[in-house]
Amino acid sequence: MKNLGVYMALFFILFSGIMFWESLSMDYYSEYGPGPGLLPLWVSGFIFVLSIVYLVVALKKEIILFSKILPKGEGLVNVLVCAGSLILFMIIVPFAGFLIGSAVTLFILFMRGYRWYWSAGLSVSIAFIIFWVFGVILQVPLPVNDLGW
Amino acid sequence: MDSLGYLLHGFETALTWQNLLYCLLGVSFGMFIGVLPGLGPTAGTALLLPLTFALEPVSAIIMLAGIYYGSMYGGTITSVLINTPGEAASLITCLDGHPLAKQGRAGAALGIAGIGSFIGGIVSIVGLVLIGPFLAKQALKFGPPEFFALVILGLSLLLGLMGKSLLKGIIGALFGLSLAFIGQDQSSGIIRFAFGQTELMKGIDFISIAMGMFGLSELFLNAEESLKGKASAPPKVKGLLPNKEEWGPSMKAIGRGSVLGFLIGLIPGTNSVIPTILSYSMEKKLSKDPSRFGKGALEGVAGPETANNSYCGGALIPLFTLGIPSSPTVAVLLGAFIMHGLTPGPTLFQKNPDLVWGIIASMFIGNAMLLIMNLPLANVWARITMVPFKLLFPIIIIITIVGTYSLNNSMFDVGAMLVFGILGYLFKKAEIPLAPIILTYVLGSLLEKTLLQSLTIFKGDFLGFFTRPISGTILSIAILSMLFSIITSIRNKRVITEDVEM
Amino acid sequence: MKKKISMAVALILMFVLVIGCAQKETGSNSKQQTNAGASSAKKTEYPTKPITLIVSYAAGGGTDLGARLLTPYLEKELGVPVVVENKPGGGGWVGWAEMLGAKPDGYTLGYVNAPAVFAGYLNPSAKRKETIDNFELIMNHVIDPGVIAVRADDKRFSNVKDLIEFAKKNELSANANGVGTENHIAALQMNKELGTKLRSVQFSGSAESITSVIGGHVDVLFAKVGEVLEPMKAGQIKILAVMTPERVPQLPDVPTLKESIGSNIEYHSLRGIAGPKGMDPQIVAKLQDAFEKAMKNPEHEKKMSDMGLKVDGTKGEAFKQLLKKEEASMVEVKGLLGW
Repeated sequence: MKNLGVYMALFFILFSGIMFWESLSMDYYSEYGPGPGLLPLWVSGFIFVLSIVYLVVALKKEIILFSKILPKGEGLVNVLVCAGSLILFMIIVPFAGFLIGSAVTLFILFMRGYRWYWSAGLSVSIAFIIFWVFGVILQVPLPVNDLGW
Repeated sequence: MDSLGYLLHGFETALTWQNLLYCLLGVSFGMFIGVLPGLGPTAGTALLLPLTFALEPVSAIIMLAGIYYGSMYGGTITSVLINTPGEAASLITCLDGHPLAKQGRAGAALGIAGIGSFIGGIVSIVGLVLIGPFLAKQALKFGPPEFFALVILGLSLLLGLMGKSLLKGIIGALFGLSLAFIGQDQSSGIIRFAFGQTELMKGIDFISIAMGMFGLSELFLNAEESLKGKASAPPKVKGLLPNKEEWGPSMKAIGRGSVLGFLIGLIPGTNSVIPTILSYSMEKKLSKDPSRFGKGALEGVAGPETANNSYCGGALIPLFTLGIPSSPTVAVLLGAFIMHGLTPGPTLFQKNPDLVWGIIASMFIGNAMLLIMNLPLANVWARITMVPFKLLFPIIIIITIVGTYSLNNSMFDVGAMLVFGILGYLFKKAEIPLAPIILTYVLGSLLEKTLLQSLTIFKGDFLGFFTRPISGTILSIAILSMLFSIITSIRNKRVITEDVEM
Repeated sequence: MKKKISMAVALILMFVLVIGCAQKETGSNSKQQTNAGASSAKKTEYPTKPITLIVSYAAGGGTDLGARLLTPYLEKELGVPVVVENKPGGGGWVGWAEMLGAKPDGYTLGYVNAPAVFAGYLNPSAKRKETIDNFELIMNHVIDPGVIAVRADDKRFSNVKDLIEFAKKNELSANANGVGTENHIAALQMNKELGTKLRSVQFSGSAESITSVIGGHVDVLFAKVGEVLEPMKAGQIKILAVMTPERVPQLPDVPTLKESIGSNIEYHSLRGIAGPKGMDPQIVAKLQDAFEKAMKNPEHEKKMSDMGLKVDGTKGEAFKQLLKKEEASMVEVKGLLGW
């Protein structure tokens, strides 16, 4: 199966199935009025039914092939680096602090388009600027290390 | 016309140099938090609240009100430039604002939004002066069933924005609604769909979803293009003003948006997203060529942007005349009134006329300041689109991280943003429209709350909605419009065959 | 092949996300320990940064107003900003869950509202593990008596007797702030003991409820004195009875439910200050001292009485006993809700 629509439909079927199952365990209606399970039950039921229709349509009519829509080569690498850099940020920040974490993340992202010395300069200076503007001036809480940066 | 005399007197209050300064501070700060994704007007007003204790009551409220309507100007900027709404009221602006920016017309989009915001703001203040008290009493006729009907109307009009596939659009809308159920239930206090995860008990933050689905997914799509500069270079920024043939439709859209936003603002319990949806779909329906929408129709920016600003002015009417906060931000304003020893309500106009009229006058001045700031600035902002993508996107990513992290000081929100970014990317590929997802999410808790309240009032009989004139009428219109959309879709003769690029 | 790769990548992403979150947990824990070590060395320095005061109800409601009236005086005592944050919903537990989840460092405090707080864990379907014992109880701020009110132009009722008689024969809707909150229980008690037919519509705060009653969408308003004084003065609602053993000084002309119809049903709400369990005793003492001074400030007391609120000021252990007693009486009426 190389059809994206089918996977999307399956995702929604799974999602609504879980929701429907969970909704059943909550009060649909209780002695003191409509309960927390009422609307989710209906909504997830609807999604479930519509997703099955979607699945049929995706199989028969609207075939969106992976090979057509997913980027290749450098484009794919770019997308993965974008997503990966965020994950990297989340992993290193708790012990490295905001400045180092954001500088590393920025460096990896800048490397996609600049030479390494440019990237290094840009990433360190931008990390500092952002830290200063948000953390120092605006007092926005940033994920800092034990030393406060 | 004693109101006019009062108003002139109010200008005396508002035009003292210190009040002018506080007004300027307020609107500038408001604009700034509107630009920053993650900090909304509610958070901004709450942040500055403690700073106002030392001020005179008039100055304090002038400043806080400035933050409130100023933020409505600022939210537009990120919507247009990087497809990430600065606050919920600017969601709809992404639909046409961002395509305009891609065509190098970010200046025009921001310019018309500034002009529209100004007109919307002024219209609503005039309304506040002339007919506010009378209208506020009428707005009390809206109870839970009417709110429910209004939300459903908004969502039914969304069906018109679904692009090619109505089926996918409805699935998306319901998916967004489901996301709103996660966390604690409003009326029973039960935790739903959290699967034992503490982070999920709070529910997923709007900002995580909006930034992920709109902002990040857009970045991923852009990143697919090669970054080596072979990507389409951003076109030159062309001016601030609409083309000749765009003036007419845009001004009409601004006129309609002003009235619409004002009226919705009067109704306590609504939020600023509703008038923007209504305005956008109205413009699309009335347009000579609806297919332009989603590809850079200026009216699609002008209408909603006007509506959210006139909503702001309208929302102050129930506060001033009845002492009822109609939205979270107005509730913080109410707190400010009370802290300064003032109680908003019918007696306020009699007890403290100087104060009320001073504030109203300052709103005229503040809106003018914002216009003066925004038009030249629009050009400056628009130049951001000229920055090469390879330089811009790392900065955007870091700023979105800071914005989402600062919501609850937790990396969970950043993770959620990433997950929604990937989902949004895949949805776009599968041609599932994103706007319905995020809009139903925003309106979800209001929808559920009012539905349960109404069902209690009607003793569980759903047909009760049709026993009340207002809710019956609105709901009937909504249902008819839904049926119309569904029938035309099934017959494959959809009026709008173009997919909205989101 | 491409599909497989992308699926695998997506899976890895998810996996790494989970790990990342787990990492964060341990990271913050170790930070807490170092903080605790550091704080023992410089205890006297509390407070050094703004304190967040979480109010579990919407802005403009009674709790919120009381909090916002108190904070300026508190800031004077503590010398740092005290920021009120509204986290409404879930009968108050949205805010409480957030507060209990915060670090017990004295920088996140919250208003605890009884009896509303008990509903969150006495209700078995809420599956809540936290109880009142998870709160570090600092000091009670006010006791706000409950009232029954209707729309000012509601011709059907001129006194509470009319209302009760009418409600025995006809169904009336009443407001409540969530399942099992004090006004919901009051309505249920009336239904049980007096045979009225009141249906409770759930709202997320008093401001919203009052709007609905004024607009004629809900018939009966159960609210507290502090919340109804203003709309009463504005001629929007009329108060039929107070649900306390004695008349309240702010409403000398309003009879109690007991003297009108001889019913013992009463309700009030307590609003006090609490933090997450495990706060440093020295910090707690410092806070109690500051809160006491702030509450006893004559200006503050006057503002509160203008709003119809009496400052209470029970603190520490006595406050805990007070809440325990309330909890016990709530357990008694639990059956009404089928808990």
